[in-house]
Amino acid sequence: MRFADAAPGLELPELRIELTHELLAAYAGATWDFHRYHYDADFARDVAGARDAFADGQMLGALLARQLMAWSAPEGWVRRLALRYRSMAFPGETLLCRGRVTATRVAECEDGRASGLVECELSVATEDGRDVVAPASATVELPA
Amino acid sequence: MSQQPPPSPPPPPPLGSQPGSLLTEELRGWIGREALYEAPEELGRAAIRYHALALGDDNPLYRDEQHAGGTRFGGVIAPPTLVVETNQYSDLPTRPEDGYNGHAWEGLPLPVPCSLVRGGNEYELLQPVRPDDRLHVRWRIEEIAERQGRAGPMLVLLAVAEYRNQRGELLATNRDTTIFLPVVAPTGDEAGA
Repeated sequence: MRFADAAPGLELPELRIELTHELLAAYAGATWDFHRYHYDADFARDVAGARDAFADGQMLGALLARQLMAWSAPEGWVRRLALRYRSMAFPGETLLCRGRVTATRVAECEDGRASGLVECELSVATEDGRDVVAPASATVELPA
Repeated sequence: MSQQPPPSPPPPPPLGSQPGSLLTEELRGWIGREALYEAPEELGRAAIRYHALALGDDNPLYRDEQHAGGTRFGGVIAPPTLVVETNQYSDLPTRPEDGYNGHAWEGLPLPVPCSLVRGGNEYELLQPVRPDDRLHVRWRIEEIAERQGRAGPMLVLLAVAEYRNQRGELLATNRDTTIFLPVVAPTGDEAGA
């Protein structure tokens, strides 16, 4: 992706994630997070009133960052990411990560280089339409 | 969260009373409190590759030195949000009751028992983290406010984390919002909330 091609209104390719116990456990492991919420369904039910183990909120941000980095590859960088968590996400659910360009501008960096900034609005929802992360937004930096 | 008895002076008012009842002077005294954690070693390529692998992310920027070296990044970098996952360098023991081993404001004087809900995060990712970065983070309680939620009053805690490497370069900031919802007793006056 080049900055010149990122026009307001452009939709990012949708990222579809099948949530599984393996994914939750793998992310918990990769982030050194041993909380039982992420792999112990009985504990999540008894302590948090959840119907199963559930995804760490920051994992959903990491998935949005994966989507943004793939879209803006190989020179793009996620400069800002803002997330508001709406509901828990459980194994067996399919998550849809969506995004759209809302604005673009050129800014000058400290070293004098020109940098293109692409503002995006994002969301994570289940396939059946429940908001999981909303609203969410990001700024992607690309060489201008 | 904390199940400890409420502080003696002053006694907490019952749930559902006027706003301001949850935000005690003692709790307000925690605004500005800090916690500092430092990784004992460099991040390393394996941690970066595992983070990408766990997310099903095959982006070569995180694993292929030759590919990454040909981009403006000049070498392998970590996925953008790896740095905000504090557990990796907090090096804390595992809490027996729930397995948690990361940063928490242990001893936060909540006036009533509360359950904890994540509200949101806002990350500024100022520069990519690299395999030879040795990370440290400073957490600070920026604000504690009482808000009116759907089920009654609640506390909202805004903490700000700053992540730096061994050269003191600011890599990222994280504005983290946690919501504390009073646990309503079954005999309370808010049944069905």
